[in-house]
Amino acid sequence: MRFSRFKAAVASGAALALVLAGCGSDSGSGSELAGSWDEIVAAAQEEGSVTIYSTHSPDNLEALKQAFEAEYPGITLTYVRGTDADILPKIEVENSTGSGVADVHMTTDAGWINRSFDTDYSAEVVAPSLDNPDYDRAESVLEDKFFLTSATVFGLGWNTAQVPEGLATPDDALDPRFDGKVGIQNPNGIPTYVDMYRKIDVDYGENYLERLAETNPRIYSSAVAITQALASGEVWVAPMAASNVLTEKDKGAPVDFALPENPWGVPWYSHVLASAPNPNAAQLLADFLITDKGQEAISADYLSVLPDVPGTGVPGSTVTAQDVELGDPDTLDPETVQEYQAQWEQLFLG
Amino acid sequence: MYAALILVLAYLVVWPLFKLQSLAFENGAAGYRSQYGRADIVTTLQTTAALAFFSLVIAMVCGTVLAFATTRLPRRMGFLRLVPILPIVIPSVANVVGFAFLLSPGPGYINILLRMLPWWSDLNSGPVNVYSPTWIIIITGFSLTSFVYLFVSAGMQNISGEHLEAAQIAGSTTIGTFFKVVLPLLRPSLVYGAGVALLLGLGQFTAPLLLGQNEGVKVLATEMYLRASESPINFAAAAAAGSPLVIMGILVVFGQRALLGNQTRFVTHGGKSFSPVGGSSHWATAIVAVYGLVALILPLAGVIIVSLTPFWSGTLSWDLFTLSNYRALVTTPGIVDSVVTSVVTSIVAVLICVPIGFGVANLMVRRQDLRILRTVADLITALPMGIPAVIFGVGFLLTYTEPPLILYGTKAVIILVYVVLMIPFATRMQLTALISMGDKYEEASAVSGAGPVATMARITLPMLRPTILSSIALMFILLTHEFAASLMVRSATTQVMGTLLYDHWSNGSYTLVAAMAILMSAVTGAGVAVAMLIGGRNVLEKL
Repeated sequence: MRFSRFKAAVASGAALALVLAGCGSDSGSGSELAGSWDEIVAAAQEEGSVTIYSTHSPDNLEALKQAFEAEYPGITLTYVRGTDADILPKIEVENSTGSGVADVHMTTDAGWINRSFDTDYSAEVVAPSLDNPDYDRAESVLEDKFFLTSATVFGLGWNTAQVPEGLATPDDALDPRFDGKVGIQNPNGIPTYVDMYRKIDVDYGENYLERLAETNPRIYSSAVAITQALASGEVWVAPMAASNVLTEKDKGAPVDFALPENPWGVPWYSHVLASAPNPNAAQLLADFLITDKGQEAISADYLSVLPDVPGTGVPGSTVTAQDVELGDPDTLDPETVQEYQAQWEQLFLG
Repeated sequence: MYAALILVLAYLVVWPLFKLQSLAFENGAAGYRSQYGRADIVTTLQTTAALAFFSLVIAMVCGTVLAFATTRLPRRMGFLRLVPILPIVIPSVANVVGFAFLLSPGPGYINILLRMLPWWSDLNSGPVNVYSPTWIIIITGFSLTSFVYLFVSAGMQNISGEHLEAAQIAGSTTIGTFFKVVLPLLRPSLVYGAGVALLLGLGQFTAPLLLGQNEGVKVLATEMYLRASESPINFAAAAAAGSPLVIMGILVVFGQRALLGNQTRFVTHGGKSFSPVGGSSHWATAIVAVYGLVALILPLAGVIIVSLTPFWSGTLSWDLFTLSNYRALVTTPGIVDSVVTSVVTSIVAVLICVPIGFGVANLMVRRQDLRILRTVADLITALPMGIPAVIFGVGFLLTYTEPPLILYGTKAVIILVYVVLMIPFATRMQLTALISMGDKYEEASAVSGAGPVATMARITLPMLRPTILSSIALMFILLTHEFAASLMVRSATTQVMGTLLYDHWSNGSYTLVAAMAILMSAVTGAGVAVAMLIGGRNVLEKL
């Protein structure tokens, strides 16, 4: 009997060890960045896959995947869409454990971008498309690491079945009949939204946030979720909707979008991660992102970093992503953001 | 050898908890100060307590009534006995999103129907708000009902028919018998079921996370998740948030033992086993059917409708129906991978759990001499039952993102946390079977000249086979649904079905979420079907 127990314990221990050994080697290929651009392209084909973490809209990331894989048939693009609150801790853990999963990371968090200049999170970006004069490298690349990729402008969104007359100004969203029917973003863990709330409180008119809180708004994790809530009719209006409402409109959803007089916008910056398991494919994706084809995919219904890209931009305007300013990192440090979050919760949930 | 087994278990179960607590106390208990200095902490604690208490009340009432009702089903309605167990087979994330599709204040299908009633026709939203604490409690209560039902119906099987007949002869009505005879005799099952349901309610994660964010409803389990997913990650505050749940878990486990005391008072075995008194009842059919409709069919119907539409909307028309969401299951990155990861990690974890459970059960039953080791083993294997999965999730994330063993982003860490979560099930079920087997068979085998290995291979294991198969089925079902711990230890590209579903829910991809919920249920359903093929048709009833 004693022997059999011993065998059982050894067997279970061995199974555990096998699992740990077998499953512990999921991480990257461990390849290094090649020398010339041609060598990088060839090495990227060898790597055969690339992963991007992004807060951009899932539809646009899917379009990016299609476009990239059409351009480079040997390389599979995997995208992971989440909010900054979801993604930034993952980037930090992957860096600290050396278990890189993501190759490229796209964010709007000005404070985090600024803080990461002092870390080893990013590799130098060498993509030749950065030197396209239309891109304006001096304006669009930070510290040779973060490169401007796209931008969004937040405006007024509404459900056309419930609000056929639409919205013209942010004040229209505060109509008492929209009580409980207004969708807003939760800034928890997302400094970009903290920046947004501070700015619209000034730009949308006096005490806008206090008046907004009186409408008993419903809270969503991101603008993307608000777009879906508008489409489903769960909320009827959103004073800070993303322009991808237009993508849902094209699919037949009963929604529409308009820009107010002082829209709030935010640019996306991307960087190649130092912990990238596919460093060459990462550079190739970085390059593709700022080509016309890349922009047509990632910036559809958003602002492009290049002029005249079909399907991007604001109708009737030549505004590009470079016209949208990144937030002030000095006011977006973790302590200040946490303090604002507490105030915000007091106002909207208290 | 048992000492080595216990050491491995202690490393897996206790070490992550210890690491969390020591971190929470670092820097003058900075974790506690950060978490319990929050302005909304009192509300969070109140909501957690209310969720646990009221969902427990709902589950106890529904679970007990259902257990009694299923004993009085007419013969041809016998298949309804499975209904109270089925919510365990439907993944909780699928169930919760199903209720959201039905009861969202705006486009929820049931709300739209209710607004057609004359007295609610002037409403433009509601009358039900699935995102409110009240409805989170009700939905949680329904999901806990199955667990209470399992314990109570098992207890009910042990009540002898003689007690009931005596009550009937003495002139008691059915309801009188229920309150005066059945309920008092069920005390051990009720106490045990209540303890388990209370702990599950306290650590409840899925419904508050998926529904509560919309209105800022916070409980301790979701606070743990939020602290562990901030940038920078605040493990110390997350650990502090989970501490009351750990303490309650330990108190409830000890409390249950104290409350039950001398169990011989509850010996109910007689010459006849529990059998319906006064024949079958149609009200029993009605009760079980209504529960099945509300807890199972309606949320599933909500999920199916949304999965067949291009976008979630309160207005339905036939020309909107599409199968594109099901096609998207194949084309959307990660979904097929998540199914494979869920199935593979669940199977491997179950295969590791069975021998561990067998080892511990053997220690408990056959080695009365190793008193200390038995007590330690008993405590360690009971811990994961009392402590919410999200705490183990955070503990594992912390432990395995640091040297010496960095397993972040691997399937191994998911398997390890699954093993820990399932140890109580693997151990308790085999323990019960071994106790009821007694030692006569093994002694007979030894007398006949068989060695220990032959006895185990030819006597013990074959006799344990039904129990082992049942425990495998139960563990597989629970693991393919697992959400709370998986959410913490997954990486962006190593996802299980539940965590990927949550990501799509957060992104507002409701129609894809609906199709994924159906897929998840199908995967678990396939697992149950395989279990029934191997373990017999009544494998679910053995749960």
